[in-house]
Amino acid sequence: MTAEPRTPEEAAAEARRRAAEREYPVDPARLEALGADERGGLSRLQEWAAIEVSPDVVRSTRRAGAPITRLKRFLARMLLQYHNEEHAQITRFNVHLLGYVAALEERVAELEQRLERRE
Amino acid sequence: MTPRVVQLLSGAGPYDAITNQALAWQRMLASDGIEGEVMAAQLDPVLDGAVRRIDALAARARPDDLLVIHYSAHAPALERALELPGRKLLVYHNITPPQYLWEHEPYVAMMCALGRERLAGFAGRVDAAVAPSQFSARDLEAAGFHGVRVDRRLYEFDRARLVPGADRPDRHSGPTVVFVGRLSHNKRQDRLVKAFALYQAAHEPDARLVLPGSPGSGTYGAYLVRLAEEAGARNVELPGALPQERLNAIYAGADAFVCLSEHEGFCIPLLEALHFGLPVIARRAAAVPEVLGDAGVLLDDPDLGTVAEAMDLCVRGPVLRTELRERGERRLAEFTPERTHEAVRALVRA
Repeated sequence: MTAEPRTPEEAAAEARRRAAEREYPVDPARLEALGADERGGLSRLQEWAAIEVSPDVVRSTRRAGAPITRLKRFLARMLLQYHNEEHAQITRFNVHLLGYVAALEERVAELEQRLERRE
Repeated sequence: MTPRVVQLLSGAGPYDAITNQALAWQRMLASDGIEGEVMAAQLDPVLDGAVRRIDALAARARPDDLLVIHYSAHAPALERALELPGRKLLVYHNITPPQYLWEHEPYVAMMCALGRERLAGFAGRVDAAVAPSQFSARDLEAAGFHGVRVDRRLYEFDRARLVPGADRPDRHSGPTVVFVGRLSHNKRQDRLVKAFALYQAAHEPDARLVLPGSPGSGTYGAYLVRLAEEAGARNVELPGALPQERLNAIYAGADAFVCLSEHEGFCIPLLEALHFGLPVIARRAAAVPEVLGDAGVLLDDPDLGTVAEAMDLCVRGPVLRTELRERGERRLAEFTPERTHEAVRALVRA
């Protein structure tokens, strides 16, 4: 049995030694593998690229705010032309960016395949 | 007329560390008879009065002012300050590399990418630049700055605010492991959750992990909760950003502080943990070794098992704990408000 480490330097070395020797009830390799990149890839981006805002978000949060809700929805209708143009511009950017990313993804995959064939 | 010191921030909020440091500098300088003010591009209304909006800068700036630019994020208003007359000092607090943030906080990642990229535009346009660590100074040098100063005393570390208040130490039936910091991927709370799961399974089934820190605007907090479930870790608590008294109670009831962060420009919570006499285990990365010195168990690129074993050694070893506590006290003697005051005074007069 090893003596208790007295200094932090000894503790670091002892921790490494014990970790190498111990049989853990949980597999450390399984823990290491958990939670890989969760970005969701292209499919999630495609889902988000198409903007759809429900008119229900335009509402008053005050008590007895029904008249304010009606006023806000009226104003939103009045600004429809502006909002449509804004949506069009944002969507244009989103889908073009998405197309660009998709093309890059294809190129990377192709390069990886070529590399594999060479190896 | 005595030159004033005008400090400029990208953003100011009541719980923001850089805002609080700027206000501390202002108090220190005022005690030396040097007038000054703090201005921010983005301002939490709670601070209205203590901090002004940066829009007022052009109208209020005097040619002999010293402009202190606190650089910690992308802010076009800070770039506009370069056009003003007067001496300029850039204080670099570091910016998280965006690759840590794209997954959970893409907007912040974009702002960090811009902030790091635009840093080069300040090189040669300020009179001096200073960083609180060699680690941060290397960013400045890479961006084209010359003669960068490094001063570890830049941040006021006032132990008076760490006196436990009305809240009693927050103890648990088993050992408590703690790390304090914004929930962010560069701080690697995810690896800490995994190492804790291993520690709990092998050594202390009733142990608890507490991770106070602002959840930010991203999804990393929810990811950590899912990860703890998948790893089989129990008693993992994410209480969010806490007022100082509550945080003090958590420190006072903890048994070890573990920092697996991969990117830190400084890391004041390391000093807070030393103040509370906690054994500190940390990854030897970024500015962490510069802050901690020899007062903690520093691990090189540790695997999960090594972290779990270090937790066990620190929690259960009375001799090691005593040694760490003594080294911690010696380390803290280097970070006093008086030494920060000296550093700030020297910077302003240089």
